[in-house]
Amino acid sequence: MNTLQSQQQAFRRAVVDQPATELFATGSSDPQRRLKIYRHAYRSRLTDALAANYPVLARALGDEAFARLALQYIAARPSRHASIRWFGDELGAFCDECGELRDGLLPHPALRDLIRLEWAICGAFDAADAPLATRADLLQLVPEAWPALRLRFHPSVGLLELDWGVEPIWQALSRDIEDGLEREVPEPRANRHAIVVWRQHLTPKWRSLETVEAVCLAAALRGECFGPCCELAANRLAGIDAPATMAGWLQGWLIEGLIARE
Amino acid sequence: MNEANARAPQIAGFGLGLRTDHYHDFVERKPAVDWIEIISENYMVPGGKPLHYLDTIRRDYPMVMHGVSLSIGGTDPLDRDYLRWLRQLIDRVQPGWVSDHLCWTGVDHHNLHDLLPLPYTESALRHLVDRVHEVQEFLGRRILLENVSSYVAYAADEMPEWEFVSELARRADCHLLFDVNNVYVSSRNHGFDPHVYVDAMPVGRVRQIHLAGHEDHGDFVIDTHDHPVRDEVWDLYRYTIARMGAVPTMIERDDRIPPLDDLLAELAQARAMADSALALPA
Repeated sequence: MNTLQSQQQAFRRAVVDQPATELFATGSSDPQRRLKIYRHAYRSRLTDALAANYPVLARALGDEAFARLALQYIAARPSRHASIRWFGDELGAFCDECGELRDGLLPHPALRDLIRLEWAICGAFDAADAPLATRADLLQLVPEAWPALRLRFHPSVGLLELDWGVEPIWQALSRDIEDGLEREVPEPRANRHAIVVWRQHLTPKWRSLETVEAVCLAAALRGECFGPCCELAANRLAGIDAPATMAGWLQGWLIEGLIARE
Repeated sequence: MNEANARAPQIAGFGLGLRTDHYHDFVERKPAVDWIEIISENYMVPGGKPLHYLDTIRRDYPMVMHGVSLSIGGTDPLDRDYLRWLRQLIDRVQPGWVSDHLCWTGVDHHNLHDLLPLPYTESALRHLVDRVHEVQEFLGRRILLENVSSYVAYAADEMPEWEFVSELARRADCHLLFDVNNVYVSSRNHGFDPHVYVDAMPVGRVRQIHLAGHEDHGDFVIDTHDHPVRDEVWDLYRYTIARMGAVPTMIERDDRIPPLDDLLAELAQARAMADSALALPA
């Protein structure tokens, strides 16, 4: 066996699991005591990285409960990424799989949706850049071109299906983080709905969507042409002026910076 | 091995590490800093705010790149995706040079995200030389490797750290980033004279110096990078400059980031200290 590799495997065990006494020199210091520095640094660095990616979850849980969750996650999902920026990418899946309510890691099922929202916000923060379409770009289109138009979205745009109305929690706790105050956190309500997450200039944004707008946006994000998207909307907007509603959404997406230039 | 391409800036004088807390200061105040060091991984992202500020600040300052994830001493194969992304960032930034740490960061694809010490053995040295060659070949330039601080030593060590570092630089034909604080921290933790370390460095290969703060726990010292530079480290810096000459120097603060003016004041101190060290008769 490669000696250097076996030394590094033993070092890793000493940091992650248990001491490997024969690896280290005992001359001027007690290696067991010194190893605590590495053990502590490992856990605290990854806990901090997780909190940086999930600041609202960290606030919702409080330091102690968040640290408990982080330690479980660190042990269960060792980082495979070169950059610590991506640590926490599997937190949602981990919580779904680990029977978190039973284990007491997440005190409320709505927090699973909060995890998904925060990871989407992280992704929007440093997603690729792309020039945005303008109203003038769309006005250039001849009427016949509209049905076959495939909207191109900014790379940061993502659509989430949530089971809980986590927006009020996110807003209250985000304000707490900003100003250091402690607001009463509203009790989350079960509410199956969709949220669009994207980046406007440099700042991640999100907005809850009405069902039909969500269906249309999902179709457009899948690459459906504008014509079929309008039909989807018309079928669901019985008695409402579907073209006008659709035009209103499109204008909104344009102003918000969801649509990229072709 | 060719030096960095012609568009790369000449780096001299005194620099600071770019931290998000100071983005606005650099954009709006354009403080008198000779160059800026970026943490490469912070900008190995597809887009958004990090790259926006990187490009904006790069227009006003020469930059060097400093990575934490190369794992040059690791035993997993070099991460080609990482190296490709690094090369893309190099193309974007056109840095004076690119550095990482003389360490390993993980094994069996488990990244510990720490700068872990290597055993100072002949076989580790051979392993490193091959990997440095591979990276330098891939990037088309010499890299700088930084000595890390450590808290434990391997029973298998065959030579002192300074011999290992200087021998690596010679055999791999790479450059060095000399972290004065790390030498001090390790000297206290392992009981050696830090001046011996400085004296053993191959002067022409040391292209950059880091200064940082640490936490003194009496019988051991932790490299925290969250305090101002301590007096003992300033003394060692003066000694280093007297021996090595005017090597580009920066203050590296990674945690408890103070207002930029505090770091500028500390940098002015480094400047004054280097001037006085260089004014001494040889």
